[in-house]
Amino acid sequence: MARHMQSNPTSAVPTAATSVLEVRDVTKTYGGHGVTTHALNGINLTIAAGEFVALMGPSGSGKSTLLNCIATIDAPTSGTIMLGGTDVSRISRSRLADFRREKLGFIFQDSNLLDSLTARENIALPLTIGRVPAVQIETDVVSAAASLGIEEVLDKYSYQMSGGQRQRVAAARALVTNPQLVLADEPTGALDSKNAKLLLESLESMNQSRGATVLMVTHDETAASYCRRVLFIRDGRVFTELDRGSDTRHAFFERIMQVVAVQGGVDDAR
Amino acid sequence: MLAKLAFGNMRKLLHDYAVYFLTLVLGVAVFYAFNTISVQGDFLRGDVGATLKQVGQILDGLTVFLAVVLGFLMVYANNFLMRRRKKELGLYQVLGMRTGQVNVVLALETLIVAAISFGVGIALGALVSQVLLFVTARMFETTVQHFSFFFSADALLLTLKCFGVIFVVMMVFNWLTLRRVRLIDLMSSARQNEKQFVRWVPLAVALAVVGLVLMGVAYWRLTRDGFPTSGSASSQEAFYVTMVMVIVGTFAFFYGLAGALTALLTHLRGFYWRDLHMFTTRQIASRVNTTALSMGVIALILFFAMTAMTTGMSICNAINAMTKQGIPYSASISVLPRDGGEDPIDLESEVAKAGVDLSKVGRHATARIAVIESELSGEASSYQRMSNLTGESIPNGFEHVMVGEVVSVSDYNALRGLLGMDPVSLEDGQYLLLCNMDHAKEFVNKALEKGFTATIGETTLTPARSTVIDDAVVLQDTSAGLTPGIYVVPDSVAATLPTYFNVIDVMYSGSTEERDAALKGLEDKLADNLKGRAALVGVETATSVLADGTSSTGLISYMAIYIGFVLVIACAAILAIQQLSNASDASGSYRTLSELGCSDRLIFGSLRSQVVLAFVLPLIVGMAHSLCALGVINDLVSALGYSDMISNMTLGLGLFALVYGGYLALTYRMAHGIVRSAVRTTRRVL
Repeated sequence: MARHMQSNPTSAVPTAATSVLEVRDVTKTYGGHGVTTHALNGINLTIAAGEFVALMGPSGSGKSTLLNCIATIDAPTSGTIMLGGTDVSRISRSRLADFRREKLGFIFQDSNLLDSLTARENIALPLTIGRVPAVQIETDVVSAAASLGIEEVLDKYSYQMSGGQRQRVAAARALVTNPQLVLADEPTGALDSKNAKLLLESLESMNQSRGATVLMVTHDETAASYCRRVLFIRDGRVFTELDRGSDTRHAFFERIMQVVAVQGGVDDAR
Repeated sequence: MLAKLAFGNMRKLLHDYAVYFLTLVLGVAVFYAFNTISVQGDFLRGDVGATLKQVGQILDGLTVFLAVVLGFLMVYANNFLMRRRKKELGLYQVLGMRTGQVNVVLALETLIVAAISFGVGIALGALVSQVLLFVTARMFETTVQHFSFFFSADALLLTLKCFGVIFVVMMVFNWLTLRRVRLIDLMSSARQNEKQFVRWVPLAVALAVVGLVLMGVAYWRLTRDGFPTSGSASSQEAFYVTMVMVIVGTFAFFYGLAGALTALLTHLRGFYWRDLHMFTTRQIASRVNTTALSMGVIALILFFAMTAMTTGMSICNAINAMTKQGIPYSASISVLPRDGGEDPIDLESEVAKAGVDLSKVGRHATARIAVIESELSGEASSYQRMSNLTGESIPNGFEHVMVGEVVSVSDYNALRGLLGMDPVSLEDGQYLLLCNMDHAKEFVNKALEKGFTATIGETTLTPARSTVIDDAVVLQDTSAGLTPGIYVVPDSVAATLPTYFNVIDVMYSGSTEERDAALKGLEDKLADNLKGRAALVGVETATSVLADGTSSTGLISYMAIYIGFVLVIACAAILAIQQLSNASDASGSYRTLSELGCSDRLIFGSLRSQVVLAFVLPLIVGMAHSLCALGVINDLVSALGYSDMISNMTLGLGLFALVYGGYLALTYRMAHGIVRSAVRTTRRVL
């Protein structure tokens, strides 16, 4: 892509002030030569600032592809993805890394902590890359760690921590730059139920206290029930969605279970 | 089926570890090329050819030694690769392959690698050896007389034997690795490999400091004591202590370095908390910890290789210079009588009796060289007495020098006349001193200034000049024209001393080849005629001395380049393999960095720092050792009258830099490829 077109992402057309993410008619096609797979089939969705949204769907439904496209790791075949008012497909390759670092936070299924670094250093990584002054790095790291309750493991290496602690360190790393959107890809996938609960509560409080916008891909109805809204996707498009409204978490969980059962994707999803 | 698996694995291995393959090929090529030297002789002048045959025999021995070294390094590299493949080997067994079948796969792989690298290596070696022929010709100062493509079956066989043994040892090690480990360890080995080495920082810092101090003290000791040239037991012992200090210091330094480095850098907050400095530091630290042993070994081997290469080169140059200095005459005929007092030999008439008419060969002059017997016994050497007189200490390497040769002033002037120089004059009761060794001159001149008296025979003489004579010092052609001191005394004084040897020096009139031919066979005839009367008869022509000189320098250069080259590629290969494995181990980290929004510039900058440091750290340590040792060696070599060492290291250093730098560049390129593909690959989630 030519650089001059997108050297100034802020000049792109802004969308509604409150929406952080807008996905419009996005398709993604793999393959060619007769055999093509439509991973995304004209999907549409909007996420407002401060939302905590779950994305559910069976294997092969296209949710990972969507996440990769939003994360600017993959590019859609057609359609637009607006993130904080910027069309991500129009960001030049050389600016992509900066964009990712400044606007997005990632939490993966396996925490992906760098094993040669301590927790403190892992959390600080996005800041050091962004050349934030050393003094500010220190305070930012401590406050992010405090909001996830991991102050006591800051000087440990990843192999000295439990899986849950590792995931919360990864969450702190995703948060520390105060990104517009935190993308969580099966963050509880590798955790036992107790640690999963701890992490989800942390994400929930992070969402509430820091106002962080979170989009979480998950298989797990329990995990989804911590969110304010759940999007179900299937065959590359949004199939239905649920709003928690004033439900208790338990009630919301039951509603999610119903949708999953109706969808007939129980077996697929497990 | 097993063969297909082995072939598939090989393709992957050749792709991922091209450096390993390259090293095997280079090893084979170098072994073959250097061992063709005896065959190369067939293309060169007869006498050089004969010398080359001898050189070839010596190189055979060296090849075995280098094969052992290279073998160790290759086995190490192979084990390293095996460790990384544990999981794959475990998978085969989980899928139901018997250990024996896995062994067959591994053996097949080794065989394929061996066959390919051997074939390519020999082909490359055959090409290199053609070029080497011309290098050899230059080195031995002759020309290639009739060139045609040649191939040496002997060299092929020797290379085959060496590498055959290496590959068999590799197979045995593979087999042992497979036998020793349990399946569960094989499968979980990836996790084990990731375990980080933590160290207590103060201990690490202390280790690094102790290492540095030990190395420093060892340098100081070496510079103070020099090499144990005197041969006394205590100096030998002191030298061994120095060597142990260097070795222990090197290892301690590398073991402590990681911790010390991290401790230091974490305190430089502005640096540490910026860009990927933190990541780079930690990566290197975790690596230096686990590879401290290999870094230490590599530093020491590099030290040895660099010292051997440069010393070899400079010794050659010193020998060449000495040889040129040592042959002012066209030819010298000399004889050592068994009893110069009772049965003197009239050399001129003996030569005539042997059928050589010297007047037809050219101009000549005869000299009788006498000897001071007290000097030979070493009781009161002239240098020792000079030192007593002036209070200066005897220069390094001259402690056991004897100044025992005496020549009469008329004989000396005759030799000067032969060389076309003005005669010197000498009063009764005076002497002159000949000396052409730069390191000794100053010391001797000081003694002469103070009026150093020499007792020769019954007479005590005083110096006629306050400086030594250094323009015509060599009394006969020799391979080393180095003279720490010869007394020139009045004829009457010389006459009282017994004869040491008689010499006739000749300056040819006419073509050198014809005159050389005229003197051919003279040595044998003289030896026959003087049997029982002479202890030693020698006829040296400038041509033959020069040929001897070039053959020894040729041999030394050959060995130096050979040793240096093999050791350097072995070290560089190990570093390369380690770096590539590290890069692929850390590929997940690089991908994470990229996903976190780290620019390619920073990622590859970090990778570059890591690779470069891994190559440069042992190089710096090895180079420091080497510079210290070379400084001392330089003193020794220059004591032999040749002091321009550094400028002549260029070829050796250039070759070294080319090979080592080449490996560094190649490693970075390949590591770059590994990391790039890791960064580009999208993370796939279920």
